[in-house]
Amino acid sequence: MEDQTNLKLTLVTPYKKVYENISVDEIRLPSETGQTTIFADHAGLVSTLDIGILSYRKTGGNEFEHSAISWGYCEVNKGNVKLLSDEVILKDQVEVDKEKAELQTLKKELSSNTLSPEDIVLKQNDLRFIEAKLSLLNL
Amino acid sequence: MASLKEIKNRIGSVKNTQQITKAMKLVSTSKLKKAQDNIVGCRPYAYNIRDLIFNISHSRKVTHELLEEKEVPSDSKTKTLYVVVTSDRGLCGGFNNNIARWAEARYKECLEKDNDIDFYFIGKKARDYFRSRDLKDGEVKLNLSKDMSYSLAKDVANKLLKYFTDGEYNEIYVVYNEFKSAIQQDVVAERLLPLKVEPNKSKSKTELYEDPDTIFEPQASEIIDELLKKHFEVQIYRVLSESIASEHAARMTAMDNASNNAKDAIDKLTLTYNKMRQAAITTELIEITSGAEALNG
Repeated sequence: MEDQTNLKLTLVTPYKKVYENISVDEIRLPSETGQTTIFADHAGLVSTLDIGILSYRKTGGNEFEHSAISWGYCEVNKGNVKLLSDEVILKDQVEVDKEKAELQTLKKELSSNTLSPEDIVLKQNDLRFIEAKLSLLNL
Repeated sequence: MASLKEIKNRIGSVKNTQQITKAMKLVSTSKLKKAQDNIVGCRPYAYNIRDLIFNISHSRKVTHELLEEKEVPSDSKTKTLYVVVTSDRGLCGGFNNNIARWAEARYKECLEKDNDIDFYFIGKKARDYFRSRDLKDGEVKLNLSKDMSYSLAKDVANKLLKYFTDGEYNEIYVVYNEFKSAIQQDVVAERLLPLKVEPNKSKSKTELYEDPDTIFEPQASEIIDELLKKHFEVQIYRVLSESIASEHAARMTAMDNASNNAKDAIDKLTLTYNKMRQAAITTELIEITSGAEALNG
């Protein structure tokens, strides 16, 4: 019998596998419709993810591990949680100065009113991803 | 007959060339390693997306415009776009020429059938080939191997998607060098759009999706729309990565051959040089001894 009380987390990006089959107790995801928390025995779920913070708690642990993800997709199937994301940034990978500088230029561009509607959406997404990365440092 | 000095100079210049080819080979070898890691790294992502699309589209009977064959009325022409992937730089054996020749053949074939064909060049070499022969010009994207990243692939993918959804082309193909191994690369033409999604046979698991209790957030049809776009991006990313790996592999082989040829050339020249030097010495000795003999006589 498969161990049903355990969640296994796998996170893949186009560049590499970030996590592979780690046992976790709890996962918090930024899903498109809002924050979703997944415990063991969650129903089957297929969902798209929003830009935001992904957190998980290892089996038996109390501390949460955090990472920032851009667009992604998530599949929960009998305790196997599979996440695909374009970009994943862990806490120690955040380059604070670079991100802050980029944040400034993005804000300037957004307030300049010269962008096309599509560009605004793209830039706003970039902005939110940078904010998510920066907020990692406070967690 | 070349003089001793000339031969010595030639040996020197061949040695210089050999140093360059050796260095280029080493550079390609290390870049190839990185490019190979790139291909391997994107596989799990690509396979997961593909399986997912297949499973959803089969269990939920979802269709999408990117999956459908566009019917062409029999009286109108088909319009095809070929994405031709080459490199910006030469010195990599038949890497670019094989692709360019393949594309040229396809171009002529289409002209005969009176169908419309357009090209989108990634890399400078194929564009130069088509330009110098006055065949056809097309859009071009440069600096692939330098700027290679997922976001670059995404830009290309979005552009191609737009062409397709706007109905400018019925089909989009890509021609590139598939990376088989460090010594073998094959010219491959694949259809990019409309997409053909086939499952990974070994581990298809449709049960999750057939279970009516499974939650889809948002609806399956919306998820598949996003996933198909992602899938397309990943495809482009994979094709570009393969082409880059092939380029480095081809250059590595070409430069290895060049280094070996240079070594042979140096050996031959050194032999001639030594022979000539010995001949000069012998002539000189004969002159001295015969001069001395004449005096003694």
